[in-house]
Amino acid sequence: MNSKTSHNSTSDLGFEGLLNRYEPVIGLEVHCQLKTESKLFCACKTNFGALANQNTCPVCLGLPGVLPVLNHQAVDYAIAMALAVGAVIREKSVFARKQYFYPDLPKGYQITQYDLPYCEAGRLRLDTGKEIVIQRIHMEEDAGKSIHGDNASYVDLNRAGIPLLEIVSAPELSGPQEAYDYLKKLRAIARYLDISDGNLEEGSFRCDANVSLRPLGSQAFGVRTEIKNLNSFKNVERAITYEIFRQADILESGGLVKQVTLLFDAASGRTQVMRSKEDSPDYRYVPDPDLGLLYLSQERVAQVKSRIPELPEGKSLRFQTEFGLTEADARQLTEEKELAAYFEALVAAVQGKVTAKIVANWILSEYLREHNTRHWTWGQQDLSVEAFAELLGLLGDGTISGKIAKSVFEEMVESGARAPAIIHSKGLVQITDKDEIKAMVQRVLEAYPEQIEQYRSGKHKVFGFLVGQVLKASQGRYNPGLVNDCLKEALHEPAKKD
Amino acid sequence: MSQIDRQTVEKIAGLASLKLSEEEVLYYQDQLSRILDYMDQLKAFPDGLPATWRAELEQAETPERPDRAEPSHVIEKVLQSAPRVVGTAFQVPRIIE
Amino acid sequence: MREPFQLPAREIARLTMDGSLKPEDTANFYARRTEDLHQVCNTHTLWDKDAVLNEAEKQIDYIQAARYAHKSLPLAGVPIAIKDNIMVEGQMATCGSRFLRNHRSAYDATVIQKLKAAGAFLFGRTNMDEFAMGSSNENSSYGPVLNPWNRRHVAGGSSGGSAAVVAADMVPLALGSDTGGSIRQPASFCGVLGLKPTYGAVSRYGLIAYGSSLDQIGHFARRVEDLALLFDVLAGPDHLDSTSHRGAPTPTLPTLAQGSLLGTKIALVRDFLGEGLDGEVRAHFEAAMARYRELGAELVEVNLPHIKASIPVYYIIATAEASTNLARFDGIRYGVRVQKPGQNLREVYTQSRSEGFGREVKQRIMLGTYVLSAGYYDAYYAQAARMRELIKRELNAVFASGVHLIATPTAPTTAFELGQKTHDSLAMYLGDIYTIAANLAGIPALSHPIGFDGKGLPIGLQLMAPAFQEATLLRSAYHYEQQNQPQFDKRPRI
Repeated sequence: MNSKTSHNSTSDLGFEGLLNRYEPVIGLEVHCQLKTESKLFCACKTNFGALANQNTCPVCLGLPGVLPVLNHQAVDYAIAMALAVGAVIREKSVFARKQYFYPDLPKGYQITQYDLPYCEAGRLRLDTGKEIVIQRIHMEEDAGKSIHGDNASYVDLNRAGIPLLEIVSAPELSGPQEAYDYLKKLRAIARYLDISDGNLEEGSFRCDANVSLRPLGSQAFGVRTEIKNLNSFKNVERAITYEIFRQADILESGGLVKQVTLLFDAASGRTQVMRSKEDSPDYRYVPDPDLGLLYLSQERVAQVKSRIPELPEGKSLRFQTEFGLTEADARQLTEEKELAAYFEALVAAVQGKVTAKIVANWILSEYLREHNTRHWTWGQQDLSVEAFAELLGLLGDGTISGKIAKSVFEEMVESGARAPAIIHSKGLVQITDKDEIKAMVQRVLEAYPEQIEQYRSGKHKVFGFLVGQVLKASQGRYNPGLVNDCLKEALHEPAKKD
Repeated sequence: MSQIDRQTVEKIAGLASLKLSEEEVLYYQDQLSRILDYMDQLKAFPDGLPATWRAELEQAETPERPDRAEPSHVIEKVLQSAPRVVGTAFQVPRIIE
Repeated sequence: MREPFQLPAREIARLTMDGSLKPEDTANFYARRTEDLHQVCNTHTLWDKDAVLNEAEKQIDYIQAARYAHKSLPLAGVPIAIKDNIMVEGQMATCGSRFLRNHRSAYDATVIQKLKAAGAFLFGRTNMDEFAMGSSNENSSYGPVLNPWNRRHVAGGSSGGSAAVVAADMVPLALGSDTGGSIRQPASFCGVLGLKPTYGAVSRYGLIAYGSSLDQIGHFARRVEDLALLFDVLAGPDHLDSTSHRGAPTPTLPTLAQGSLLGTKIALVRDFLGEGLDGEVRAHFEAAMARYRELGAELVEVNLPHIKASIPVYYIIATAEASTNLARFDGIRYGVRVQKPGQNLREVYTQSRSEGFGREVKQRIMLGTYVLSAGYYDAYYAQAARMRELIKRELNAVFASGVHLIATPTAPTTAFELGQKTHDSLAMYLGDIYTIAANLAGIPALSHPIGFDGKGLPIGLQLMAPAFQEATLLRSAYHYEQQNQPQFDKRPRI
């Protein structure tokens, strides 16, 4: 467990100790922005980063006399999400007004869904196999944004009216790790479906966490606090961890946890109470008289279903059976659908010259390293499948050793040149001449007589060191397998001096 | 008799973002009480509808529009006549979180 | 050259299109008349003769172009007054409220676009009860509208200004809005015709909302043919209004003069003809019904046991919807903001709203907030919604039994005196008893003149028809009108 929290526990309970006494109960509420062209109830653009209030119109400005009209695509996206998590879709659901006064809420109410959301009872399976119930998902419009100055705040309504799905999990997550995993999986689904960018930092995927503790073994729920607007996966973990400790401290000292709304301060690593929140405001929900029913017929649902791509869980299982990958590798490869697609394309392109497992290893280590450090995006193709497959082919047919292949890879990425050109210009073709290798082995053994003794007296670890010396002397060009053989032969030669 | 008390009037005014003078509180307390008493006659009417019947589920299906963005230039006029504007944003007193 | 004075709108349009009537003459004539008269009864929140004539110039060009292109404009050159809760781009829209006293519309309501396309002149902004909440037009921050027949009496509300301008011949047509009777009742009080269309027949986009499930834009005229003419222009689906009816509307003008009242079955509501109805109104109503019978109609009596619940049902639903519709008036993006240095956000909200809203508006907002608040929703709002359904079913059952129209007096009294009911909200609300049902059921209804009481104040009769049967409604009124012209033609002395 992450013990690098800045929490200062007065009770000296470590996380392990804490878990022996309390069970954390966590529920997550995710607001997932849908990447439609226009807003939920009007035809304004939804692009991020426009000049303040540029993407507005009478409807989303809440001018007098305006009326909402529902976006068809947003509904299809909502249906897709429901199907992906196996939720039960309600044929007739209702839009409701949730009323409160806030400057970024131009109508003084938000159009959302209340007691008749469009779907309920979905499931998400975590890595551990544990299934988390998704209690409900509903459609709603986003609010605008306020930017705070010293003495005033400034309201930008570009975001007001953008379609959101509010996805509410049951309080079944038992720790920060599970929360992290749940969130990652949910996000992956949203991105696979191509209904959302799923970007926490940009705000297209927002997470609030409800955290409570209860004594181990107890069935009753403890008082829960709500941590709002966690803006990175890391902060979700940190905030929940901190909050668990904070509540444990209170309970350990005999106090009562107060039901408050909190913000997480990333700099200090602590949760802080939000000042202006009242206890459970009265939102006075009422069905919106300006909208009719949200009617989701079986035909419509079937249509959306037919367009749903293979989802992460299914793809991961398929990678395990079809390509013989481990569960861990398959999961990693399927986290992003573009990565999974890249992998599959590369496997096809190498045409069996190396195994899928090797392709997977290469992608998960070499490729991802470059992808992340160089901030590649899937849109701009950084390293083509053809070039990569070419390199792996040369590895597979023995032209180069694995070690050389890695350095060629780096050169390819750096210069954009193709593998054959690099190999030829640098003379990197693998050496398989046994005589030459034997000769080098001899020279190395002569240089390290002690190691020979050590090996012969049973310290077999020194073998690796000797192999390394031979390879080093060849600048990695010797076929490692042959070096192994030759060295073994040399060390086990019966010609020993007494 | 649904007598509305003073506290309730003040609570409702708060929810509705209204500030009432002393006379207004008394006035509305009286008017609202009388009106609500009158409304209570609703209870006398038998409802013959099934318990599960809900008005909002009886509506027609809401129409949908295609997902196309269309620009509106209304914001220029709105910003020109808005009470307080800085740049292209609406200014309000500092919001305290 | 004919003077356009007291010509039906239909005639104005026809003569304008064939060139016999110059639109600038019509505009000038009615502008002068309005200029001379609007203060007498305080009919307008905004009347700017020059601005109106300026805008008219553009329409005149448009009309000429249409004439050359042989394209017929149904409202060519017709001056139409607009109730001050309907958005006209560039013009003030105050809703009769201090809160919006500096508010200029940033866009056109759909009905306004239709009026412009039909060649009409938009003629001023008429006075109204603030945010359409009222039944006397005494709730306006611009002062009450006085009844043109007797200026010590109310004009009715909330569309009092629009009713009065038509009664005084300042314009041949005026737009209003009707949520619980706000067109029909002032029509009745002012001796003119008023139509509330079927809910969804006319787009609400651009109508400042009061009770969203009840509101409709409707209009006033002196002649049934004009009522039909304007309805045909305004009705139709609107992609900007999710509650607008998607089917094509049935035109009412072409069949207006067809047939007769023979065989038309008209129901009278026994529950409405008892206590509370003024004696003179009753007498005129019965006389009018006798005339309907003479014209061939068959009269029947029906019972509507739930109809008495109309008022509580209406006031719960309308105020609940209003309380949320008026939440957008926070002073942040438009309207009057009251902000003193050092004040916080909450204070800005409450001050702006409290100073900007009148007494009745605040009362209804609070009533609406209360019935939606935690713990009360089921007892009030949900219950009212169920009752509403029963009332609707009862009315529809009457029509399903073969009845074509339901007739009632429009209001239980004639126009009462100014100040008579202002301190008793409940008494004011009870006056809506006959008109509210049509809004609850979403059916079309009109009021037409049937005579005058002993004080010379007009009396109106209400006809209701099944949903989307404005053609039947208007045709029946037309036949009555043809045989009882004097009741429609009498004018107030101003």
